[in-house]
Amino acid sequence: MTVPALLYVDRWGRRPTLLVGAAFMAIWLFTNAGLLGSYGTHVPGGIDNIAAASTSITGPPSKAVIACSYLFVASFAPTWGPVSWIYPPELFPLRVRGKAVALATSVSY
Amino acid sequence: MSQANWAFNFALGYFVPPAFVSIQWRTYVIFGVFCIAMFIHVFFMFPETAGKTLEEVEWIFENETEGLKYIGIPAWKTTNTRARILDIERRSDGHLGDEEKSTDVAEKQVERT
Repeated sequence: MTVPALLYVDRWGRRPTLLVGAAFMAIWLFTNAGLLGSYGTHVPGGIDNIAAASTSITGPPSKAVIACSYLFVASFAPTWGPVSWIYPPELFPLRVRGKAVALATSVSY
Repeated sequence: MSQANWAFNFALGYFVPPAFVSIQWRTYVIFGVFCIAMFIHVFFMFPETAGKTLEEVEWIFENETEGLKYIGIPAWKTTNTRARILDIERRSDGHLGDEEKSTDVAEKQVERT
């Protein structure tokens, strides 16, 4: 999913890529929240005694939850993933670029 | 300040499982709200740098005449200038940036800004 970014991010521009990516990621996350809230049942103590797996969901909504989780990662990979690396080097003038990009990488590696 | 990404990922490893235990599906709402915050942050603070030379990007931040006083040109007014840069590249016949061989007047003007 990074390959479309490699090919098209210059044509799309940095801002539209980031904005569209953030919007899609938010959509899939809220969809997941809604599906689990409406169709899931709370399992006290967790499934198979794993406390963090606290919601049980079956049938078509469970497939939708899987699909939305996949689509969340699929909308991160061409947008925020590569542009996070492309954008800091473009931003800084040549004098400070080395140190600035080093800082950016140390914060965001 | 360095390794903030690693630190936050580490903190997430401690935060998310108890969140799934206590608030279940509302954990996704937390991350959804973070995504919306990202959207607002990019819209207001990230200028467009595609299709611009180094000097043009620096000019976005230092422009006192066309922009706001300590900010320069606001981020939502910057656009992708890819068409102009491609046109300059095509007209320079592969000699982009070469003072003697380049025959394009517009390209020399861009270099001087």
